[in-house]
Amino acid sequence: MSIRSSKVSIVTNILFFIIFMVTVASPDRLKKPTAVDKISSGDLYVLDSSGAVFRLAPSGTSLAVKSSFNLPSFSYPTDLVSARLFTKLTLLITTNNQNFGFVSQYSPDGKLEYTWTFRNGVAGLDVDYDSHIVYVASSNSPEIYQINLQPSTQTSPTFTGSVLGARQLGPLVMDMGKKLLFVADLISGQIFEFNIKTRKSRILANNLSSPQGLLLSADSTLLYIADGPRRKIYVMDLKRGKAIPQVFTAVPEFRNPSGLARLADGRLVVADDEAGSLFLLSKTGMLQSTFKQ
Amino acid sequence: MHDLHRKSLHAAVLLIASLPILAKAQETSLRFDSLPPTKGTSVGFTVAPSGSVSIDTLFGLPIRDAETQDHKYVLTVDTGTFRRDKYSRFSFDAYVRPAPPKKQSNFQKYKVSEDPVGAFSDDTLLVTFHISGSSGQDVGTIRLPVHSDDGSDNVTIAIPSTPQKVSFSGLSTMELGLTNNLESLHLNVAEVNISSTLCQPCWLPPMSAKPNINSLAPKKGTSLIVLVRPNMIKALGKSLFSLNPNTAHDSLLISVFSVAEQGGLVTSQEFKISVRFAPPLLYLLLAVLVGALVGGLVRLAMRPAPYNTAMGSSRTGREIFIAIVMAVAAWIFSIALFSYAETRITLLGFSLDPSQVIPAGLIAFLSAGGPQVVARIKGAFKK
Repeated sequence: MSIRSSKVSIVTNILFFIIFMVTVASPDRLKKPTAVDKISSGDLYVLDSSGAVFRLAPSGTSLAVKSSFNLPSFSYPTDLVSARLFTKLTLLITTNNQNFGFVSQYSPDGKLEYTWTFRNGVAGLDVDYDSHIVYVASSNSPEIYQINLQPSTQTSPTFTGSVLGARQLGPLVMDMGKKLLFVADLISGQIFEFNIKTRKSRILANNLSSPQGLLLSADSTLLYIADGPRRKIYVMDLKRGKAIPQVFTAVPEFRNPSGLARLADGRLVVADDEAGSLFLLSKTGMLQSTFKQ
Repeated sequence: MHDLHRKSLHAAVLLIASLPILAKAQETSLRFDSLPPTKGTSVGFTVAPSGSVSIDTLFGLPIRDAETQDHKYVLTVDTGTFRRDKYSRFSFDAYVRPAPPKKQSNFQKYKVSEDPVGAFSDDTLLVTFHISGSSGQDVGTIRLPVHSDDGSDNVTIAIPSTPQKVSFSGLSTMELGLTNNLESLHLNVAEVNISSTLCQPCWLPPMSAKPNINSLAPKKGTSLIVLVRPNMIKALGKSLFSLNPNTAHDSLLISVFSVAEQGGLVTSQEFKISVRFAPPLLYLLLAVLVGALVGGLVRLAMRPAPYNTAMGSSRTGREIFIAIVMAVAAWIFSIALFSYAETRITLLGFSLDPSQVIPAGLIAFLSAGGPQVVARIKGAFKK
């Protein structure tokens, strides 16, 4: 009897320990997803404004959290991009803390590998995974910087060019084929095209409110724009010379769509920090499911 | 009759043609004036329409209303939406409706973002807004939080002007005043870190600094309790030859992370506090005894004690005892003068802190040595 009770006690203790460890080590809930990114053959990475990064696996019309890690305290996370660099999956995250901006390189399991410091704030970023160059929009001045990740080069950020006419840059996305950057102005609601080769910019679209997230289609012919205040996702046909953003979808549940990602089959994932949700949309913009913890 | 028919048709055409214009005129627009929180700084506002919502949407929300001067509109701000957006911009939701409310009238929703320039203290200020819509134009004011993105001097710590004494032995506690500088906003002290700037090995972990209260009302203060434990050997080494009482042995850096309520940014401020290590009484007594003994012996070596013929021995023991008593008395006197009368103790031209080991031993040595020893040392210095 005593042997049995001691066994029960041991099993109970082990179970308690496992539950305790799971509880302690379990990630915070997804509260305010602001940015989301996915490479073609990988999981979905979500940046939460509470300072956590979540790794989710899409399956059918559902999403499941696989793991998560926390960013350093007192940093304001802004944008996230995932990329396979030098055959290794890497996460690049922009954060701000007072006047300084940071681009941090993390392994998928949350190990901080490198941090680049900017004397001004930073906003959106994207990566050219062929030439291993990260492009970063400054939030204090309408400027774009680049970080060359080639091991043989110095990795301090260098000035790439100014986006003339912009007031405060926000999201940034890259068309690798044409070496173009698309960047949005949070204040004027304009979308700019920045040519990396010529370092010249031009206004691509007007009349948006405050674009919070940008996404290119797989063939780089469509530009999706998450307009937070208007609670809409717009789409622009980049093949047309003077394209006007058209409403792609305006799901009633949207509160402030702020991040966009594309799944391998062309469906879209929308991060909405105010709704505290991820929305999974069909290729035509129909709401398929909502993920909320 | 035909003419009347034609006139009514004409009027109908005009009315239909003017409908888009009327509809346009009914659209409301909201605008806020920029304001300067301080000289050389400014806060601009960007307003983005966010559609129209029914009156039910606002039910139960923490709202702040402001009616325009001519009572044409009401601006409603949802104070629960004071927040930082994805790009760290301070933003909130605002709603405009006609005043008095029309039957089943909807609210026009706006997302308002602030764009501050320069460093100023976070505050709540009266902001002028302009609304134009179907009832014409009108203006009003509303109190809104304004936050700096370039740092705000949220707190002050009352740093003592002279170095704080920290005993070698055991845990030392310092209580410093921590005050919320903000005029109208509560403040949350998120974290306080403490570290050494000159001699990190002089301290044993953990060093801690915690406020008694984390949430501070405007212009109110609390105590910041600093707990430190010096590493005795390192601290002794650091302080042993530091004779000047005004020289700090180490400088502690206190970093305060605080955030103003209603959407402030986390701000870090740094404060430095100078400390001097103070040896325990036992160390000081030992130093005084050794100093007195050496001083007494040196004096006797320079002028031996006379032989007591009655006792059949020299008076060496008595001389040394007197020297020790004199040295201890001199040291206690100097400690009292230094501590309570704030008098500078100067020996041989050096300003000394008698609460430190070497100065205590030196005072005892010179007191026990007497004029002969002092004169000899002075002579040596002159050479």
